[in-house]
Amino acid sequence: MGDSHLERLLLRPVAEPEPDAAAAVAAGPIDPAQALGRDELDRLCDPAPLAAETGWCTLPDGIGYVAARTTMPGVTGEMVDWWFDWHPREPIRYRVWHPLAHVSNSLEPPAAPGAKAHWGATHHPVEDVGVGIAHARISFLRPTEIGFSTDGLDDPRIATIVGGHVGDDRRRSRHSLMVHVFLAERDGVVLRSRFWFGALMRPYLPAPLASAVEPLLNTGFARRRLLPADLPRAVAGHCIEEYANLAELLPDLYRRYG
Amino acid sequence: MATMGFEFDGATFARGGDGYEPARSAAVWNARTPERFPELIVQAASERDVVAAVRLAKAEGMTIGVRAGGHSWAGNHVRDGGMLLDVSRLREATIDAAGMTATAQPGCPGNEMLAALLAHGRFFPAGHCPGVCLGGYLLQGGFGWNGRIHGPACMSVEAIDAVTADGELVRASATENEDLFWAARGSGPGFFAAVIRFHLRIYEAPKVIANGVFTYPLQELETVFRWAAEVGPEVPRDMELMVFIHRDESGEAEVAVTGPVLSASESDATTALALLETCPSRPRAKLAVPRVDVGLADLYAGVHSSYPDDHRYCVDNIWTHAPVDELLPGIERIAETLPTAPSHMLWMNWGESPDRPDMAYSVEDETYIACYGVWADPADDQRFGGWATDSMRAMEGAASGIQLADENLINRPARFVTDANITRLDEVRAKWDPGGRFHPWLGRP
Repeated sequence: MGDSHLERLLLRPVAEPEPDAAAAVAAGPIDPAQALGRDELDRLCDPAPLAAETGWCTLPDGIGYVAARTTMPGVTGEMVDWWFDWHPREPIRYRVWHPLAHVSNSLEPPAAPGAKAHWGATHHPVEDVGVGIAHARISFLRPTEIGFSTDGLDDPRIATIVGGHVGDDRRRSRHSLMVHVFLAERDGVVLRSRFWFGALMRPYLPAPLASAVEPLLNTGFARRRLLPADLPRAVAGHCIEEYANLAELLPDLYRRYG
Repeated sequence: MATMGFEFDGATFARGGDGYEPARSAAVWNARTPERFPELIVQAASERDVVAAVRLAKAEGMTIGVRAGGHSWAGNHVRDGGMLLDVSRLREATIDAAGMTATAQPGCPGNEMLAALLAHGRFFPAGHCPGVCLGGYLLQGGFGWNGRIHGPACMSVEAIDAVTADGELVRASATENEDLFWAARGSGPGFFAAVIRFHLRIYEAPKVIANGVFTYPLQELETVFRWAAEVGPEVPRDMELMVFIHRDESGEAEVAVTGPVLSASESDATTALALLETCPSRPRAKLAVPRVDVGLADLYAGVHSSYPDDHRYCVDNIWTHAPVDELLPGIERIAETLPTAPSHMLWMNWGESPDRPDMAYSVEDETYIACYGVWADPADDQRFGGWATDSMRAMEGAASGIQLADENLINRPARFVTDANITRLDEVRAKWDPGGRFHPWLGRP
């Protein structure tokens, strides 16, 4: 067997999400008018409160929207950057993050080194957030590659930004945009997560073919056919759980392994 | 089969791979290994292995059959496809003699647990048959030594630690996850979580263990059963009056009466054993041993001779409160058709049951009758394989249900909990195992 400390963490109960966040997820879909636009990512870097910090809905164009806010006391941007490079290297590290939902992960390192180790990396997580097992592919990118006007490296308000494109290894297709903005607080960070499911549909095919098919997939009809209807609610619930749990684990894991 | 990076302290065997078939057949005590083939066998060597196995099954969409002692003759846990989760290596037990509690992992043999308890002056109603492990035994009810005093052994379970279909390790008791606890006490092989530890209430050890044995020629059958039915209600609760139909050394069918007592005092034991002498057939006994003081090991050795390892089994049973007149034709038919030794029929005086706590276990009656077809040669499968089923089917009209202990649901589905409780079991399963991760019973009424 491997690392006995990690093995013990697998048996530990998953942390409860913050009650306000759990209540917001349970309250049903938010008004789509409260959803942040994909062209408004920079607003996530401003600590001023946003409408619906936690919530989910399906937008009129069929895109599944998720917002989730998690306070992570004791966590720093440095820890988060380390985590996104460290955890995909062994399945057990990914399982420890959320033992009931996370199954496995593997890492394709970036083709060229960037300012942060996760920029350009691809993860292949296998997880079940409540809508069945998914063999996901997440391509982590620099913030300015996904729509931010800044990479957040020199902004004292921003602890770090982690984001990228989400796809499905089994269905051989990219589908979504995911961003996590970690805002610095006096005693930790506050995480703002946003997902737009189905916003970036594109098959994993050679570029000419993928480009030809892309417009056909980015329609409300295709999104409703290809993404589980319950996905936004399930991901919102999972997101507040996994980051509440990570908040409990990360400072100690960083001390031990960082 | 890939284990998706899940690591196990114990061994895993994929169908078609090295070691698979020995692992599969070793998971069933019955030498007639069922012709059912799981895709993956996980021999858990630690509690965390059980957690990892359930999470792997969830990730791979596999169903799970759980084996503790593997004494289910029907091999309910061996199913086609999915995972066979073998927890027989989890056999640790702890005893708190002063606190009157104990804990046991599912693969702990009841007879070993009981021997350890007796060394501390403590007792638990462990199963009659050596090698029966606590996992399956406690889930299905648990008819064991002094069960007439302490009730089915599941009544002495105060909590379980179990891995749910979701892969979560939870405690279930009367005060937390109550519905799961309710189901764990009586749902038997249809339980929908993998127990890794039972928390048990234990009792003062009996002061006297003794037995009386009388055998009678088959011509005395009617007299003996009429007597047994008549004295049944008067039998002290610390005696288990049992009547067997089996074959003697020469192969002749005979009737045997035994009355093991596990008593709190010498006078209790004497009073109870004296009852065995009141059978009107007593003067015509072939063998009369009014009293022999024994140890637990002797009792187990006696039982073991009737249920040998490496044999082929087909078993069935009924609970009944029908009058003896109604039962005698069926019993006579059983005697006439009895296969070779050590096949036998058991008639047990369970008696009137006191009020039980609310739990899935809910079917019992005054008398228990079971047929055990036992043979060694595979060539006899055709000849003897249907005897127990046919014999019990012929008596179905007198039955009020069955025990899961000797269940034959695959061949003869019958009522094993009340109608209300099976409805509730379905509801509780739908909550804890909505995707049907854990196999249900092989048959149901």
